Amino acid sequence: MRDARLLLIEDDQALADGLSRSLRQDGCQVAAAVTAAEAKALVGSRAFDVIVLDLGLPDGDGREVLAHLQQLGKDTPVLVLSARDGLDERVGLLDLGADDYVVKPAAVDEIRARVRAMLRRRRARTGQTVTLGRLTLDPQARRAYVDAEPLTLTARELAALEFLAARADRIVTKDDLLAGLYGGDRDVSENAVEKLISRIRARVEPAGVQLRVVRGLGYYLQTGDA
Amino acid sequence: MPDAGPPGRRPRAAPAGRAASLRRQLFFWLLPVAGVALFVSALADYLVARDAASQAHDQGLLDAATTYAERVQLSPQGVPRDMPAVAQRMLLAEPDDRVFFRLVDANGIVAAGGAGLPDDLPDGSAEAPAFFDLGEGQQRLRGVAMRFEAGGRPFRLAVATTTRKRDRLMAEVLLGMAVPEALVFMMTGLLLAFGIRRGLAPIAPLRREIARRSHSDLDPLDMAPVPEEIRPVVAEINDLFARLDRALRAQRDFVADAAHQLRTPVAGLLAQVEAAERAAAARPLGAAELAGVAATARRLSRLVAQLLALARAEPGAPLPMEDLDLAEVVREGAEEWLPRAFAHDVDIQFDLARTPLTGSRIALREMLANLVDNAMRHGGPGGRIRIGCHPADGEARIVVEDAGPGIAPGDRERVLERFCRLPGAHPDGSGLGLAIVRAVVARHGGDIRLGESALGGLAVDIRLPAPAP
Repeated sequence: MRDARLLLIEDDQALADGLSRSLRQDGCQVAAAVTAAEAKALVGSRAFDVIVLDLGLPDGDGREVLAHLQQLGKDTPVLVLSARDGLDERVGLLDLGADDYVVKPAAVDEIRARVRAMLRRRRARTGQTVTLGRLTLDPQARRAYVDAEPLTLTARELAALEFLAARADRIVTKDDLLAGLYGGDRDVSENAVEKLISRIRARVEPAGVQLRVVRGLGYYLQTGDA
Repeated sequence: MPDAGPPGRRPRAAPAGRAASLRRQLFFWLLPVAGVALFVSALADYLVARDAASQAHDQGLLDAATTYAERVQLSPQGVPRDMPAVAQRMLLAEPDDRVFFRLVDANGIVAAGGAGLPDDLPDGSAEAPAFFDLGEGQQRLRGVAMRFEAGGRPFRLAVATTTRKRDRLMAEVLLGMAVPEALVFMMTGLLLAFGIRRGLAPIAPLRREIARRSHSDLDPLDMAPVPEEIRPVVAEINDLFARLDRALRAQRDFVADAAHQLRTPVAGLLAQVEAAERAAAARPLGAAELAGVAATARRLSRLVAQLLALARAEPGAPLPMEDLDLAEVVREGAEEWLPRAFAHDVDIQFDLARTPLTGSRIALREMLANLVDNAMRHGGPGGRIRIGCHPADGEARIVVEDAGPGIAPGDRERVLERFCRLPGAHPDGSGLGLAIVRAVVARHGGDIRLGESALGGLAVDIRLPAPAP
């Protein structure tokens, strides 16, 4: 989270203050906006890695900011905070390009965790180096390191790890992996996926990377704290 | 509580022109019935009168014919003398009516009269004279034909008159009846309107009784003065009142419970902050003071979230329903609670089959989150949880099991009540989790059962009605 450029759009003073303190402590550069107009001006003039957006703003709906971002063609991940939690709203927000959604009252830790996960997924998606525990993935160089030591992984293992890192803190099903790594090849068995994952786990767990097997669901690359 | 406004200001029922008025309905049904009855009775009177008039007229004709026959005088050649004047006089001499007669001898030769009467008149006999009608309109004739003998010779005689006198008589009868009948009809209408108004009068006090009530007065309406016909309606209203009363009472209890439950953590928070304040006066604040504040605030936050969830699931709150797959809802929810399960080293096993259902995604997720939270609390660190869903006999079935201590059969109903906390329960629990689960299940028209799990702890078995495939 170090040096991540974060825009916090929240009009409640206490919450904005508490959140920005916590996020700054995590190493984020936090810019704050209180109104939708202010937020729109900021996203137009500066680049952000992640945006935390409260839906209820004094001069309008946070949705306007989402729409504005889409208009600008920015794919900055947005975490929406809302006191409302109607289903239609949730679906509408995800359609509008929100990445994640937290219903108030939410603990600051929860928001921090979501932001972290969003940043990490974004980095993995955009081919930047990602750090998981003591493991560093460098997708550009197609290499992995534990601390500074190179970790030897097969191309498929590395691809799988990158695939999971781009979906860190999300459930990844065997079908997802089959589709993502083998292009949905029917001949590849689920068994092959299981073996691949268990090989990866054996390699990365000593480096403090939690690759969880959720029985009946799939896999979950847990980033925990970082 | 907001006031519902004085009774006088409440909007009236639909405009009078539109609403089905019982009074108008009764009136417009009863009036034609009364009209038809009056008409039938008048018609019967008229027919009887006409019959009597006709009989009298016929009798006059017959008398005239008989008298004529008795007085017929034959010439020495046996030919009758013409004596229309006699016949004229015989027939009561209504000046307007014209008299015709025709006397025919045995050879069919007209012996006297005959003008204005055709040849083909019916035959009659001395014993049974035959009456006949001729012509139309002003020229209508009524006549009688008979046979008689005079001077040992047979003759046939027909006497007829126009019917003006009789028709005028009938017109008078008709007029004489129509005017009083119309008056009677109008009277009937007035009496009906009056009677209906009186008959429906008992509704008015009922209306006043309901109108004067405040929105919080939901005691049953007094049935004693209510007419039998509207008793079922009033009984239904009383039933509705009772249901409303129960719902309002539940709401009041809920608000009171919620306020009470919120007071505790708020008081705790205040105590923690005040202690920290005092400590800060002496030295920089330490993590210990703030950890206490944070923990209490978290509890408060969770309680508020749960209260909101419960309020949303309560009957009457809007809850958008959609067609969904329960397995999908579990998968979505799992991302939220898995980190906690990992942190507490809880082993969660999923057993999800595609389970179609019409329901509220947000409420079902809330339900699952609370079930899993409950299972994690009771199973403790290192515990095991199993979550399964599958369609079964037209229902969607979800089972959440843990390896905790379970719940004694005697307590299973009670723990579904809100704010119920069994002795020895986790101190962080709010007592709302299972109440939320039960409310969500109820909103979906489903059924919840608590039992024992093969894992050793509690099994929550939920069945929700599923849409027909």
